[in-house]
Amino acid sequence: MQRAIWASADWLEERIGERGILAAFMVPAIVIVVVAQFYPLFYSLYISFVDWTLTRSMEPGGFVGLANYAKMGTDGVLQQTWGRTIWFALASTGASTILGFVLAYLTIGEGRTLRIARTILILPMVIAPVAVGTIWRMMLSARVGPINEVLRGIGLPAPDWLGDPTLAMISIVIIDVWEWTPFVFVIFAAALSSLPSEVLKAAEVDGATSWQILKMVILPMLAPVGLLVVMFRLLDALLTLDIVFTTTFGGPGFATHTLSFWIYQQGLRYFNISYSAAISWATLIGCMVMVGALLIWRARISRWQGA
Amino acid sequence: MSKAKTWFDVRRMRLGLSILPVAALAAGFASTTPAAAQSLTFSVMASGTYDKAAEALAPAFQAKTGAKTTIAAFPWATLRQNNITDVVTGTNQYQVMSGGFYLADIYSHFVPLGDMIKKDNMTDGLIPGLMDPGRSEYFNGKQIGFPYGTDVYGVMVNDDLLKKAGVSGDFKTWDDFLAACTTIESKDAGVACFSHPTGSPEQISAFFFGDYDGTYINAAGKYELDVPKAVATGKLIAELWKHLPKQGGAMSFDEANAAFRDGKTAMLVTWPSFANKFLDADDSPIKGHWHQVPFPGPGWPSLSQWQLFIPDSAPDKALAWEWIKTFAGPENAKANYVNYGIGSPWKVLYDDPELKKQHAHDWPAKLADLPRAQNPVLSGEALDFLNNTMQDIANGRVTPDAGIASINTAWANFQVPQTLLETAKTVGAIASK
Repeated sequence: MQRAIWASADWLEERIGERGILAAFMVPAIVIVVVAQFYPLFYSLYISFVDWTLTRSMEPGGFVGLANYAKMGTDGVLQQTWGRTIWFALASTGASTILGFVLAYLTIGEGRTLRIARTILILPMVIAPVAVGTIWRMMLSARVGPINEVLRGIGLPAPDWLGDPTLAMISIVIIDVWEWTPFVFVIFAAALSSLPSEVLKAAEVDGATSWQILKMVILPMLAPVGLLVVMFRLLDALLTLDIVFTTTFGGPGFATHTLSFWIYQQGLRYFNISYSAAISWATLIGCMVMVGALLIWRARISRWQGA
Repeated sequence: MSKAKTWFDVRRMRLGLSILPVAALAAGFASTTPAAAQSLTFSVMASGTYDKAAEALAPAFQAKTGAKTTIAAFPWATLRQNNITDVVTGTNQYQVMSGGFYLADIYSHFVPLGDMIKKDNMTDGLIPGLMDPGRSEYFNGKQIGFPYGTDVYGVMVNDDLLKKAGVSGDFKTWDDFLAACTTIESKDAGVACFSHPTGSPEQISAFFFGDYDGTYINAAGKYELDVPKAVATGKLIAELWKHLPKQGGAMSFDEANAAFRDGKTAMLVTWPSFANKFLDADDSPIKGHWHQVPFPGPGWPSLSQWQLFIPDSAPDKALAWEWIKTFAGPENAKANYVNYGIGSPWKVLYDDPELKKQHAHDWPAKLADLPRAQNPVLSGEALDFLNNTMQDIANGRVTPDAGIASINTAWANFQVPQTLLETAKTVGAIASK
């Protein structure tokens, strides 16, 4: 058996050479990536140019050009979701970035208490998003949830977190910030730990206060990392679906319909697969532009720091 | 060939060794044959009622037929989606599906049941009219759904609180109901007029259908509401929402039921099958002190007539029909009702003298409402848009005029499924011009 295997290996090497064998080892991984990622991606681009509703036909319909993209201009719900999603992404990213940095700054150090605090602080990030949404839906229940029980107990107003259209979106922001601040915290904690201590000591020796060191030394040095964090958080927030799905399901009314939720509704509830693909591609292009701009900005800051 | 000595030899051996496990796996897959035993998977709503009843029947059905019976239960919104996805993607997991009018988009994939119904005489003993189009489901004139789990949207009233307020509970219209709300709340500031599962967005349409008596489809065959009537209904719903309990904007079914049971609200508007067993529990403070009243008009009460469908991909349609007879047949009607509160389309349930006496406080209203109860002729997408917009109107995010205008604008782009168009003609839901 061993001889047969070696004989096959010899034969293969004679045919395709050493580089061929190396390539052969890579082929399975490449096939998986192409099949699992690129094929669906480009197939969805094709679908966005045809007329296809799954419940009307199992096969894609005729070519309709940019009609699905044009439809986005007359879709009132989609237009609402653009603004709402951007607002949500900015609010959630801003809050989680500031909070994550503050927590990282406050827990720098090697003491046992600080290590325990850091461990506890990252726990929300390891809970499954669906579980997060379900837990918070129960906690935010206006009439029987524990949060309002506490608020009523201390004499504060107990709002209808998920039933009020304005508060519902704010509640989604709160949940998202709670869930993903640990991600920001972990990155900033690592970045703060790797800052050169001699620079900070030099600033101290020169008479700078803690606030001045933070503002004029630490924050500028962390700017490239901060921009990366903002980029990741923005991308994640723009594509949020799980929290909306498990807490409000887009309600009350259309109040918490986000972009991803509307894409999900169109594609997987109403089976307007080609329209859903068009919105997805428009979103992808928008995200790529945003990521590109942030990366260019980051590169400029890095160059400035290196100069 | 000699044993591996050089770097190339080692690499060749690794290549050979890496091929072995792959070959073994491939051989394993090739030799594996799927089990030939019969199986049946039934998709049903996870509600603590229909799914529990199915789970209780499954072992006996399995013993009788030898088919491994799996109950796949999901919340309503997910059930609808899963059923449609199962069919359009060709996954074909479910051999019997539970659903309703909102599956109209895939009616062409269901097996006509007429011959099976006739062969087993399954119409004998059904409440008249429940197998008609608009209540049971048809495609191209052929019946494709068999009814079970009959329920009609209901209004339950607290006898003591209404008596205290001097309100009779005899609401001919929703305007009467609204007027009663003002009276009830003026007599007792601690009591809200009614509770309702506001946290489930699809429920608000019960109020819309109950008050709106216009058409849903225009003469051109597109979805369209009669604007003046729809705006009036929107205004009514916005007013009604002011009479919910405080912080009652996102109540679950259980919260709404509990608020009524505990005397925090004078009335409850919900599906009776989700509430009445709870209200009549031995430890319920409201037991013996409530009754169901006829659903106000001038529209119609929503009908929940779950249907059982057999997808055309089911490998053993006779087995699927056997499950339908077991789950939805008259033999289990009483047990399903007594144990799980599942309303039945069978007369035998409502003719039972003992149950009739026990339900003297709710069945008369239900049976009075049944003849005018119906399903909306709306596709899933059209219904969702109506529900979400009505919620926005109720919460004050949009005015009734703007809301109805947005519904008609969106609806103009939705296709009316052919089967619902046929039903719409039957029930008078199409405008003449």
